[in-house]
Amino acid sequence: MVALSNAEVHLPGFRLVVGDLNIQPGFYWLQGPNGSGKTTFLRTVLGAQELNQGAVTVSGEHRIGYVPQNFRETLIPWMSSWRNLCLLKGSRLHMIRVLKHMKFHTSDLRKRPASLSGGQCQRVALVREVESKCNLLLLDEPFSAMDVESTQCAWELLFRRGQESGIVVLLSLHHVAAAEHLAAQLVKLRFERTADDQARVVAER
Amino acid sequence: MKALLVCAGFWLLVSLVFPLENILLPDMLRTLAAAWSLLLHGGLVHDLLVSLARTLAGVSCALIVGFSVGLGFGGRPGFSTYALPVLDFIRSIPIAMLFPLFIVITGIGELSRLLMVITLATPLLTIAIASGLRKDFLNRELNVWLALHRTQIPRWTRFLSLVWALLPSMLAGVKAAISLGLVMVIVSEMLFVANSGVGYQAYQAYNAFRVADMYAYVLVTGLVGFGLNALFDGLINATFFEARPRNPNKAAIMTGRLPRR
Repeated sequence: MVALSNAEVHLPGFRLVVGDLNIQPGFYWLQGPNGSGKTTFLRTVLGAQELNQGAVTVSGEHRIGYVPQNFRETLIPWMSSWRNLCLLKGSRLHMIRVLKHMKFHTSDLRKRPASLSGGQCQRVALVREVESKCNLLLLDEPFSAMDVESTQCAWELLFRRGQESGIVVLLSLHHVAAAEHLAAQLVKLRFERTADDQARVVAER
Repeated sequence: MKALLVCAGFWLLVSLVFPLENILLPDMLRTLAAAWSLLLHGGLVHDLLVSLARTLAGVSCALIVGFSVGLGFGGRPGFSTYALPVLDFIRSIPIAMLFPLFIVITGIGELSRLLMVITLATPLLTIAIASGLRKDFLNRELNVWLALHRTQIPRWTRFLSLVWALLPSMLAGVKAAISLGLVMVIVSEMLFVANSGVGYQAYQAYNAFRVADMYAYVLVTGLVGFGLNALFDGLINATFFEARPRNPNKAAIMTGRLPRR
């Protein structure tokens, strides 16, 4: 679905060598220390980061969903969380059900993002993308602000979505405990520093 | 605000101790009485509204032009290469040099006054918008997200999110443009044919040696300008702190000194 060939991204003081990588439908866990290029990789697949070498192609009909580390920025500030949820196509009733399951009080749907906590905003941003009709989900630290219970519910939500055919989930995550019990079903994309200013990506099953 | 009250108190004290009857500075109480009388019977409110309407009309037109050109400047480097010298050239001309030109083109009247305010305010607003676009605008995650979901998000929402992002720099530009525009309007009311506006009335009071009236116009215009400044400062603060948590300690954040606990 996503194919990168001989891909390299050069940033000031940093170079990410992706090489050849073929991403088929499934769950991918982007694993690596801070500053090893996980966010750069996701932004490259999105098209928000230019390649300095090689090419990236996304084949077939695809709709991309994206939850960045600065998830609060993707919520429109003057709209309530409910209106933010409704921006993308998807079953609204189902979104509410999922949010309630994630311990999000429905009365908070009337509030604007500035009046919500980081964890609440992250839940809105995550549910909006996951429950929309996207088939390529790029999630950059999507549980970073959530409590343990919500993280568990978010995992279930992601896992259920990942089971559907033809969906690619690229998930950058430091929260190892959350990922370990699904390790058998995840493809690891390991990001490792090979030099002071260079990192590479290794795919592991 | 406290400093203003101290100045007013000083003026009042001087007026009471040394009764002022000269043309340089009239008695404070007499000036306030003149302002009150002008407010009630002299059409001060009407004149103020006329001057403000002229200023706001000019600044609004300048905002439309400045917004469009500013987007071009910030969004397309090629465009700014062509247009920047033109903008710099216009900014370099003292606006007073253009009085004769506007009068020749449009005659003495409201249109020439409007054109002067537009010419003065447009470069300011253009630069304000363009600088707002440069500040990490392309790196904002919201822009990436809106670009990704372009087909699903209404065009109007996308446009409003652009305006929202530019709001702090735009409001700062509008605040400066209104101050300068008001100066321009008042000068033009004094110098050109006009039969209304605070500039015109203050000039008439000066010609007729009605010093208290003249000071009353100055005082009230100053207060209105002060109020407008405060309004825009409030709006800028509100938009700047919008994405931050509620009830931030603004003073501590702005000064960079958090209180000791």
